[in-house]
Amino acid sequence: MTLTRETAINAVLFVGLLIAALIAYLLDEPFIITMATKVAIFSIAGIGLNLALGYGGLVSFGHAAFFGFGGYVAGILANHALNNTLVFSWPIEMAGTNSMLMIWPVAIFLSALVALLIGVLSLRTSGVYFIMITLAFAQMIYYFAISWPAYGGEDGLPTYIRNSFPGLNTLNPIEFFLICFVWLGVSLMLCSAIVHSRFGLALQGTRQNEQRVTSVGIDPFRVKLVAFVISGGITGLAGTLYTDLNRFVSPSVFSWQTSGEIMVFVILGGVARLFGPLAGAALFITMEFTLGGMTEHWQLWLGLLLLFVVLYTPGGLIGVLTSGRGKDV
Amino acid sequence: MTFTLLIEQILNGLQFGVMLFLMASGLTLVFGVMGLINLAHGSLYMVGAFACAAVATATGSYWLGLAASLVFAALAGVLVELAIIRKLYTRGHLDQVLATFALILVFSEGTRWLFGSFPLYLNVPEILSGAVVLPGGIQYSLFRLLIIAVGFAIAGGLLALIHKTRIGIQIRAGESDREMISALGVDINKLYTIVFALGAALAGFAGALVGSIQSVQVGMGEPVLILAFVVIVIGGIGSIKGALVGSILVGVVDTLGRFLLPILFGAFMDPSSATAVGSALASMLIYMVMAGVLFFRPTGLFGLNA
Amino acid sequence: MSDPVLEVSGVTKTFGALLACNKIELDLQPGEIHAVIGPNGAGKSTLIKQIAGEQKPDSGTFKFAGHNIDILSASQRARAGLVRTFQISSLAGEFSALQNVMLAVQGASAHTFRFFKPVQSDMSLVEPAMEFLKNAGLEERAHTAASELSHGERRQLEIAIALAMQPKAFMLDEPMAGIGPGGSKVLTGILDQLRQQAPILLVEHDMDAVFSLADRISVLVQGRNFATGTVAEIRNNQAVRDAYLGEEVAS
Repeated sequence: MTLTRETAINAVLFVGLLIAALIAYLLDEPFIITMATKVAIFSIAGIGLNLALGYGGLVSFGHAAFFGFGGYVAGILANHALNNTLVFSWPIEMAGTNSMLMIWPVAIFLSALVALLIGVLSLRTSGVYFIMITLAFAQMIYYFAISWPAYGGEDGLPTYIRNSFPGLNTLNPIEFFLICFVWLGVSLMLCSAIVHSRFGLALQGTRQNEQRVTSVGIDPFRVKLVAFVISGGITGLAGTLYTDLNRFVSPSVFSWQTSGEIMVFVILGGVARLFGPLAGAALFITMEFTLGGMTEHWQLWLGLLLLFVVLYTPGGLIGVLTSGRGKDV
Repeated sequence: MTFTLLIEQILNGLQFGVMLFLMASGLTLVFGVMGLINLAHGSLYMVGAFACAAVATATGSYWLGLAASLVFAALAGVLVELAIIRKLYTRGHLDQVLATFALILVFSEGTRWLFGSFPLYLNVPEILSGAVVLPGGIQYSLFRLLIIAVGFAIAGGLLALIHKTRIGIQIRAGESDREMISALGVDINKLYTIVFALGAALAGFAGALVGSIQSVQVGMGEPVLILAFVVIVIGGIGSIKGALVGSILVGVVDTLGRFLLPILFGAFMDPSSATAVGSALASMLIYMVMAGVLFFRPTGLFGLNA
Repeated sequence: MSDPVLEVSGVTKTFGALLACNKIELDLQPGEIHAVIGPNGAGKSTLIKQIAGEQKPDSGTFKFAGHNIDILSASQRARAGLVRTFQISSLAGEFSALQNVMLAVQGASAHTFRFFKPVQSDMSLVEPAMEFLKNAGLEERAHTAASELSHGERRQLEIAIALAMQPKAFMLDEPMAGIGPGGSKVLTGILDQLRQQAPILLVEHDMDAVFSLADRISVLVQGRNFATGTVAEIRNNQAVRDAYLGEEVAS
């Protein structure tokens, strides 16, 4: 790979996040470390969405469903471990767990499964129907989470402590950051591999011209569905990390605002750019922090900025920094 | 369960349905004619509610408040269309989603700035409040009954507008063939602004009416917006008739589901878990209806290219 | 005659009140170019779409290479070697010419769901794709985005893609459409080459091309197969001349 400007910016973003967290650690600023952790987690959620939305052209407004599902898996398993109760007793007995190594695969698998179910139905449609339907399904799960009392209902579900990882003290902010940072790196590598693979070729071909892909013997529905499932799994993983960060999960993770924000990370950073979600999430969190410090009504300014980005800067932040062209395909 | 209660719930469902129709009809027109997905439609609903509350409080007249909801929502619609929405017609859905998502942030935060975070309450005038006795001895809120009547009247008017009038012909022409309507010598920009303002006024009016029953607060529009999306998916994009059928279906199914499912589960469960399971399932019911419709008719009941 | 590669039997398709295809019978023999001609709206494109699996006939069956393919999806039919080109170029516009052909090689190989190996260094894709491009005379344009190719080049790229599918039969939907006389001559040459690879079902308006290339011709009129025969038979068929050809080819 040649060292393009975009590659350089990507490296600066990635290493910059690590350095920011380490400096904050040295200066004993746990709040900054938490912000960096948030950036890492939201980036992972965005990377998941970007695979579907950016590379596959599947404008999902329902990724909160997967983010929230991952989050609740972590919350529910931890809660059962805490209370020493069974998650379910039939057909086999399933106990709760506090181990991240157990929680992650379960969360990824279940989020992917939800993505499979939602995908099978919503991928029968396209365009604006797809946007509305993914939004509607996420909203359905949101209302379910609110009205199902077993896991806290509207009040949410506290986990009190962070889940554990062998050899680390996850309650120490910098150690938990490092876990999320490693996952960010893994997600980026995974996404990069997929995008450049045979499957990635078919996926991007499907985005551009389904008829063409069909006529060379590839079923576009299957390609889109698999991309949607992988996408849901990655975003679900981000959800579990988010529960651990907050030591709490509530139905708001399923809300349409969550879907909107994940989408904002992707578009703010630059659609179908590998590091776009990282750039977008970093910008978003920084703005939330700085604007939030200046005015109570920071969302107003965020909205205006977003409008400006959409109307005048196609290509997002990375697009602006690399002056437009040169998509990473 | 008594028969009276059931009738009352059906009426509630109808009332909910016609309000959804006011939202969904604007959305479906804007999408059908301009090809625009407008997430900020819920903000126009909110604008109408706040305009009604503010004017009614200031002047002491609820009627002026209602008029204000129409005027202010339409004005907000025109303003937004001219300043921003117009630039989005030629863009992809992704840009439209993000830009109108940004508009929600601006509207919500702007309204919070002006009116604060506390809900406002509207006082419905004496003459509209109270209950009427329906045939069969059923007591029902006069105001809700009027909402149903007004909703159906607007639905009738809108269908007549679309199918009988000159502008309706232009709107329908715009849905099927954009070039044709320019060829007809129609000022397409003006038509778009009118359609958008019409949709906005209907949304604002719905916001004022629902705000009169419940409360007026920031963020009140988005849940309704998402339900309106469900309506459109069921009814088929661009179809006013589909929006009407979808709205009534969603309104009645949702209301009856919340009422009947806990009772149904109560037949073979203890009361507290019946309520829990019943209401949890009821909250998902309309989405299941949507999934079912999608499965058999991916473009909705009255979809254009079904 | 030997066994036909493609057999269309009794295919009927209606759109509302419009009868687009009316009990069409047609076959494609090994090694031949079988042209389908007819006035606009005669049902030619609808027929191609149904054979390709993009539309479902109301009734009738398709047999390809001896097997009934009615239950196969469009992508499955393509993978089986029933390969089509489009009337209006249909390419992945952002992809380079090479990537477009690579996608076809990948589709034919039926190994799409591989997630880790980068395609750029996958020689089992790149090398054959390059070879097909070279044969199509597009070697130097390999890394140009498809959307930036000229009209004629895009046509050639479509042919390269079709060849990369290792076809057992081609369906070409108006390959001459929109190309000037010079390009048309080149394509005529290419079509003559293609038939070495597999028989061709050719839908075409360019009568010069049809009469110089085709072995057999079927004339579709109002959804019906009006007549099928050799070039000479069709040329001399009075009913065909009355119905469609007019005086144009009488001389």
